[in-house]
Parts: sequence; structure tokens; C-alpha cells
Amino acid sequence: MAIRGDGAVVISAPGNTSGLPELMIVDGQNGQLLGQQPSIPASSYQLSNGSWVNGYSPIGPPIVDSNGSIYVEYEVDQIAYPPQVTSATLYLMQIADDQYNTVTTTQLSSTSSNEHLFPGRIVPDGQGGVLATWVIAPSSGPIPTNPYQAAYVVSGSLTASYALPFTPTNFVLGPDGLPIKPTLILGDNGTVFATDGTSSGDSTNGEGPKIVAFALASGTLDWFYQAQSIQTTLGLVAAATNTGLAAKSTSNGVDTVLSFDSSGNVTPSSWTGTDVSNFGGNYWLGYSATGGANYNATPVELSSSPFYGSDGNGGNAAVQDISVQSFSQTGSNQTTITNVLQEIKTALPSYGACNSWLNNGSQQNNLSGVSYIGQMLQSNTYGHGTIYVGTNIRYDIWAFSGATNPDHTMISGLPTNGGISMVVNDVAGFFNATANGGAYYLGPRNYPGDSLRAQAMVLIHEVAHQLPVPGFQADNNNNKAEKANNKMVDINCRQLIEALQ
Amino acid sequence: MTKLLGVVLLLCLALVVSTDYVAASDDVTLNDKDINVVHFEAMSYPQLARVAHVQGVVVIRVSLDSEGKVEKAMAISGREELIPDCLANAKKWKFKPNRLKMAILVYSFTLPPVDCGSVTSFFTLQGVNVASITGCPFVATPTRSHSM
Repeated sequence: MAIRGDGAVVISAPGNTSGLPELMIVDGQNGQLLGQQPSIPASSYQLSNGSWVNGYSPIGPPIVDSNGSIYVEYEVDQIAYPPQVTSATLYLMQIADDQYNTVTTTQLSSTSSNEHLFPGRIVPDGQGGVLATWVIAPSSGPIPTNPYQAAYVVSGSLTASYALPFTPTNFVLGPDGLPIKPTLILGDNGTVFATDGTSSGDSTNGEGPKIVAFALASGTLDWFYQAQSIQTTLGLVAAATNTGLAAKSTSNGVDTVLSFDSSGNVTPSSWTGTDVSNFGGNYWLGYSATGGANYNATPVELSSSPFYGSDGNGGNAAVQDISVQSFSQTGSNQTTITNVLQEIKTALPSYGACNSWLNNGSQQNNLSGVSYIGQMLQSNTYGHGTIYVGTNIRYDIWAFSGATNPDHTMISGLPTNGGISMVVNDVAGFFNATANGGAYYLGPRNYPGDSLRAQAMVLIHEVAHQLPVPGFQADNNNNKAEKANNKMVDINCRQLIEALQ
Repeated sequence: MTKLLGVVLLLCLALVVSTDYVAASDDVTLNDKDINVVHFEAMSYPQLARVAHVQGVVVIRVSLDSEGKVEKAMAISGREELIPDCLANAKKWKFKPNRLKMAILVYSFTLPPVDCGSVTSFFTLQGVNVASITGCPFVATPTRSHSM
């Protein structure tokens, strides 16, 4: 299942026996099919009497790219009787977000060797290309040396095809009876991380599963890590900045976090837990002997790749250009921003945790948080206006720092000679308790819109970005990073925020 | 009439000479050969200017002591957001002593549209006195609310 930006839900149901299509795109609000949709071609099955009938085609999990395109793999088979795969052809279908007017099908592989080409996972590269993977599964006999395959497809053309660097000696089957497919995420600089995390044996040395890093465009192996025991399983947590990776190994139900650098050098965590997951930054959740637990350890600064997490999270996945209309540095809204900044600046020396947290961030620039805010006030580097993303007014964006978009274009609507470090949205929660028909709240304490607490939290959040405070992550369109950032503000500056009058 | 004209011409000539003399004492021309950097300090792109995408040139005049150390720095031109860091940086430089006991430093700040990874700026000294500081653009970071 995948969800498109407009709320449409994309569902693939292998071997759907309920009479519904194998691929469905439904309205997220009411579950109704959204228009006449492309269908997955049927496979052919021979009956014992020699006649042929149409049947389902194996289909893989769908994804939605940042531009709204849906991608899904399917395998069209011809199965003779007695059961034998006489031909199998694997396709990648791309459905553009244009009312199904543009559907592109790319053949990824084919075989007539009595084997399946089971659809695998798909990873978007964030620039219109995808890495599509599959599994070669013989109907009988030993499995191939490299059963996991991949193709890099750009604009409907297959530009590279290669074997994923795993050499399992057998398949581990999932609940559906099919081989469990490697999980993949995309890191910085076109590096893909993958793991066959539950593999029960590898022909390299007969030991446990692997984590591998390889180049998206060519498949060239950068490094691999192998568990020392087949009782150990591996999982990917998230791609990190500077081509790093956070993963975890699990032995006897106990997780250890593994931090890899760009060369594959690994640092295991000094702490362990059960079913641990990264909330964001250095906050981890899991279970201990006494129940739910949280850990403050092993920070993960997320990669800005469009698919940094195996749950489909992506940093810049859906980033579009920001623009500002009716930009101004005057009026009552400007006075409000100035007053809140001034209150924070005045209060900071009395709140050591918040003050030193901001000062940590500014050490590299020889600035204190107080002096930085002072510079903002003195040089008047802030203003307000209506914030757009693409052509839509964004009521959920309270403010932003910076003057350039991720693609390095200048944010339109601001002075062309620069000088603006922060813009607050006139129509969002900073100045309004309700916006666009709904009430808005900010941060883990749910500070309501148009409250001094919410205003202070926004401005401290933005100043932390600007300094920048270590561990404060780029959270442009990245909910996970933004939650972690707001938690950092809350932990360090809650007392100050809630003391303001 | 001719004598009167001669007197006026003499007065004008005297005025011109006098003006030249005053100008020479206040606004001397400092040749490149007079500026010899013995020690310079690299500097980062001023953070607020980087975030606010402020680019431009800052010109600083420094007064030197007899050993070539900077005694005083003064901004001649430049953007408000860039000047304080330039003044602080200029005071850390050292020059070969010169006859005028002064030097000029030119700081050039640019933010080309490129990815720099974790690096935020680069510093290079070009020619005798041009400090080039190339910054990496600060990408916008929106703060968003949530519905309850």
C-alpha cells in the first residue's frame, strides 16, 4: 500500500480472489475507486485437460514518487500443466498523476527456465528514476548464486541491470509462502543500503545475513557487513547524513544499534533494547524488562535522500518551491515578531538549559544565541507574508528560515538582494488560532495557534535552524525530523517558553 | 584688463595647488606594492548573512603600527550584515610595515547555487588583498503545525 500526496491510497493485492483488481487506486476518504484505472495483465494457466485460462499475475508493493507517479512491478507468467513456468516476464508500470493518461510499462527481465521473477521492492531516486528489484525463484532445485536482481529505470528506460550483492544459500519464506525480499533504502550521493536481514545462510562463508552498500546507478559494491551468526537478524533503521547508515542487529530478541560510516566502519551501541526504533535524532523507543522505554543515545541525523527509511520516509521526496506573496517588514504582524524575539532574547540568560543549548549551536560561529537574535533584531532580517508551496497557500507552515529552495533557486517574493533570514506566515497559526477552517497546534505540548507559547516555540525552532544547533536536523517536508526537532526545543526550552508573559 | 586676468589666473592656480595639497594628505593612493600580507586569518561566511542570502563586497581600511600589526580597522563600504565579521577578521592580519602605515582589504562574499555537504564556506586569499569567501546556500526550513 502507498499513499499519494492527494490522499489517494494505492493498493496491490497479489492473487486477489475477492473479485477486485490486483491494483487499485482508491479515495482515501471513502475507499471508492478513483476513475477507470489501468489493469494488470493476466497470466495464463493450463488446466489438467489441456485448456488454458487466465489467472492472476504476481504483483509487488507499490510506491508513490514525489511527483505523484505510482510505480508497481508485476510478473506475467505462462504456467503449463503439469505445473511448469514456461515463460515469465517482469514489468514495471508507472502511472503518472494525470488521470491515468500516461501509463508507461517497462520490461525488466524475462525467462523461460522454469523459474519465477517475483516482483520486489522499488526505491525512488528523487529525480524521476527508480531502482526496481526482483527475486529469481526456480520452481525446483537449488537457487541461483545471486537470486536478488535490480534494474535502474529512468524515464521509462532501463539504464542498468545488475545482481544485488547477496549470495544466500536458501530462501526464507514469508507468510505468503514467497521468498522474503531484501529491504532497501537510499542514502546520500546515490548510495543504496540493503539487507537480506533474515537470511539463514550465506554462501560467502556460511554465516549470517548481510547489510550491503552499493551505487544506485551501477550496482558497484561499496562495502558489506555480515552478522556473525545465522541466529542474528539485521534491519535497516535509516540512511544518515554523509553517506552513513543506522541499522540494528537482533540476537535472542535483543537489539543493538549499529552506526556505519561511509566506508562501512561500524560502531555498535553501548546500550541494548527490545524492538527499538528511532523516534528521530537521539531519541529511541523500545521495550525493557519493565515495559516501554525511551533511550537518549546514538543520534541519527537523517539523510536528505527521498527514501531514507524502509517505511518509505523521505526527506526531499516531495519538496516543491516555496514562494511568498505580500511580503512585508512593517505593520502589526512585524511588531509581534519583533516583540517575541525581544522577549526570548531578554529571557535567555535566565534559562540556562535553553541558553547553553543555543550557544552549543553557535560555537562554530563564535556567536551566542542572544547575540544572534540581537543581530536579527538589529539588521531586521525577518518579515511576514503569505507562504505558498507550488501554487497552494500553506496554512500548516508557520514560518521558514533561509532564502533558497532545495534546488538552490531563490525563494520568490523576497527581496532579490537578500537580507531576509526568516519569514512568518500571515495566514497560519503564528497569527491565527484557526486557519483554513481548523484549529492548529504546535509541538509536543500542542501549543495552540496565536498563543505566545506557540510563537516562541516557532521562533526558537527557527533560530536553532539558523545557528545551527548540533543535531537539529533539516526538516523540510520531513515529519520525523521535525518531530525530533520540536522535541529538542521542548526539552531544552520548555521552561523559557512557558514562562513568557 | 590683461593684468586683472593674470591675477585671477594666478589665484585660480594657487587654489588648485592648495586643493591638491589637502587631498594628498587625506586621500592617498595605496598601491598594491605597498600591501604585503605577512599573516592572514581565514574566516567563515557570517552565519546570519548566509541564512539571509546576503552577498557583496566589503572594503576595509586598516591602520598599521610600526611593526605592521593592525591597530584599527574601519569599513569603507559594504552590507551591514557582513561588516562586523570583516572588521573582526581584519584585526587579526599582519602586514609588512609600509610608509603610509595603512592597508586596504577587500572581502568578496558569494553564495553560488551548489551543494557543499556539511561544509558551510570556503576562504581563499586572491592577489595581494582580496579575501574571497564562498558560502554554501542555506536551504529553507519550514516549521509546520499539526491538526488534533
